[in-house]
Amino acid sequence: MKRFISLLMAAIMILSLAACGAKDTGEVKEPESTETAQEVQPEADSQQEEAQEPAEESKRISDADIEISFWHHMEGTNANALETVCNNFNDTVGKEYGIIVTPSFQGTNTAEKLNTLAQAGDWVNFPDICQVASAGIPTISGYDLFVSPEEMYAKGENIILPRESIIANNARTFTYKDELCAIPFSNSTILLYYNKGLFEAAGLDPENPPKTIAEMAEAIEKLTQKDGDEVTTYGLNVQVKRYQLVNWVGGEGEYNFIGDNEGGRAGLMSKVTFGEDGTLMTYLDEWEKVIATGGYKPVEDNINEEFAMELSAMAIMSSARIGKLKDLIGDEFEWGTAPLPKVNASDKGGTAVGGSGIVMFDKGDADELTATWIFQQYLGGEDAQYDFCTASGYIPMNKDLYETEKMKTYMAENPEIVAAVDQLLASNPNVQEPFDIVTGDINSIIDEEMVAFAQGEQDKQTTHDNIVNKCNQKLADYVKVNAE
Amino acid sequence: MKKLGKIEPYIYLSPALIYFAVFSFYPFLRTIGLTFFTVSADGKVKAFAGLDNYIHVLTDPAFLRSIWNTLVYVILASPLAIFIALILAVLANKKTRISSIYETMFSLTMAMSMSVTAMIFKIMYNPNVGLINKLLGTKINWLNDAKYAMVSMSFISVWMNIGFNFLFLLAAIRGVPGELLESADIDGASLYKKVTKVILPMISPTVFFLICTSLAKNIIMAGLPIILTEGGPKGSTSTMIYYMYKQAFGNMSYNDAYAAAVITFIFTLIATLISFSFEKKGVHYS
Repeated sequence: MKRFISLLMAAIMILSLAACGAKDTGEVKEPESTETAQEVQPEADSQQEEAQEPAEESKRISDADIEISFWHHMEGTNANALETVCNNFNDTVGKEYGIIVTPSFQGTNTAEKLNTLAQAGDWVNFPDICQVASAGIPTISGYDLFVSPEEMYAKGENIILPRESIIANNARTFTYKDELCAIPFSNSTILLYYNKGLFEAAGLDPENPPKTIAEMAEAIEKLTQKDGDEVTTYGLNVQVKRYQLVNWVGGEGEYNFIGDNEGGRAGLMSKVTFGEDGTLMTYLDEWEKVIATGGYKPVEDNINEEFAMELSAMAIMSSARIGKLKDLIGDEFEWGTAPLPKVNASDKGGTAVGGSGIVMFDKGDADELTATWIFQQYLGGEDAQYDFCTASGYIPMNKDLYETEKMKTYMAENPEIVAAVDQLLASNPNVQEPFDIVTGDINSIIDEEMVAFAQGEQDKQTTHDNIVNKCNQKLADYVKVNAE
Repeated sequence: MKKLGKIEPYIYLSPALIYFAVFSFYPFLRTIGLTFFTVSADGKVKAFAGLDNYIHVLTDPAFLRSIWNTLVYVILASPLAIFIALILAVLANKKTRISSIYETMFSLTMAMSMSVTAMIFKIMYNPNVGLINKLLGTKINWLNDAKYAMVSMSFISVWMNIGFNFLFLLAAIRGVPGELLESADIDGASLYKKVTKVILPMISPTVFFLICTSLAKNIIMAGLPIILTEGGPKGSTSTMIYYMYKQAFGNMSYNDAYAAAVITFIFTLIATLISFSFEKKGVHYS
């Protein structure tokens, strides 16, 4: 028995040593080896030149293909679109540079996963590149491995996506402390969706949807259908949460930051400012008109389906839902999209850019970092943005793409997206969702208070004060623990 | 091998002990330790906080509401899922040619993923187009009315747990000696008497197991509010673990999250101890 155990242990040790050896040769890339490879290259090249002239200069980053791990949070149709983009990269640019990208779905909150790894100091298991929602940027930008596109642009190497090609609004979404922290990727904006048939039936001009909240309130009155006291078709369905409120208030006047420190983009946001500058009350004054119509549905049950079943004549949702609504509605009725109705007719701010961007990490290998940088830029390039956005319904963030024939054709064939693009391009870049960190709490506070206001459980002033005071309390709690 | 002697049993236990030590005991003890400190959003310990984190959480109306919601959920979901499964198991006890069909049907709910089930129920609960309002002839907003939201969520949980409970109870009932039931029949016992006086005492160890697992599972439930309601409307579906999850990952407040986790553990422990007191009185191992 002893002999058997001894033999077994010896076998295990030999196998372990062999495995370690194999791992070393595979994973550790000595800089010298690259040089050696480059030294050997001319001889090989000369042989190739003899066989095939003229030889093209290789763009390969290293002899062996570099593998990039890419974490994303796309599901369903969007995941398929992303997969296609990655495959196209591997077949084209990736092949040129010797890069292979492997995408992997990591749930709907990738920032949460990164944060878990960061807290454990587990930098080895970080991906090379990751898709994150903009709210995660302040935290992620503090990670040891984080490398911002700003730094990479400053180096001026391997640039395949000119900085100027990124639409200013989208760039601002992912800018923290004057530094572009992510390449925008899957972006959207908030829109008014409306049923053209119901507009016509109510005597409204289907080509002239409401432009302000007050106009929308008038339209709701005409669009609402009742059977006795029971509403059978609501004029409007939207649940006012953080996303909706910051778009309305943010667009007031020239623009509104919502919170101090430019809404958290210049530093830690420690309080909301929409109370003291009066913009929240201005919005509530207008919103009261919507509530008073009696045809406004303040909670969302299945907002897509209800709009598709003509149970609501108007709905306010992200432009990312255009594709879903097309599937649901088909040819049943004619519908359209329009910019988010303004709080005041004179407002010029516009709306915020929603969605996610791509961040990258330096895992200690210069070649891997170069490869990651190339892929990060590729995702913001014309081809990737066209392929991804046309398949998913997101709005391209690449300015140059809008000048191409294929994009013009796509927009002509898909008029629903035109309102989203026009609105985004016309908005002030300073109108953004704030980096308010305690996003979950702020969302709950606004949601609860606005529903209570809409259902007549509390008045306007109470709603205003509760939102301001409760948000400030949550922000103060966070600042107390996390301020430098 | 003989030399191993007394340590042999410990060698067999060691893989499980190491596993629990690494993935349960260590994180648990570390979490308890961290509740007494202020922890920043990047997980760094900043200062000693004493009981401040507990006081902050226990004076937060949102957490107090979460405790209440959790208790309501457990009281609604745990007994009903076992009771309905017991009725189904009694009905399915007798083996017939088609018993495999209805046994599969009754236990099928445990093969359904929570997210899929939640999405199906979300449509069924819709106040305008949902099946439930159509069948009942009502206009109730099941998931968006604070009065009904937790009841609606508990119903989903009951539906999901019936299959698991049914499987265990059916096996237990089929394990009841036939002669006992025959004796009861000869004595003229009704079905009710047979169930309460013969079957229930005989399957009490299984019922006890189901009560313990169901209580623990339901106290730490967070999946349904995450998928369906985000704790709303008005916090009426926020459970203790949902609160913890939201504080940790929605607000980066680990101080609240750690304290909430430990308080939830204490609740689970108390519930388990209460059910163990039931074991002494009502569980028959024979």
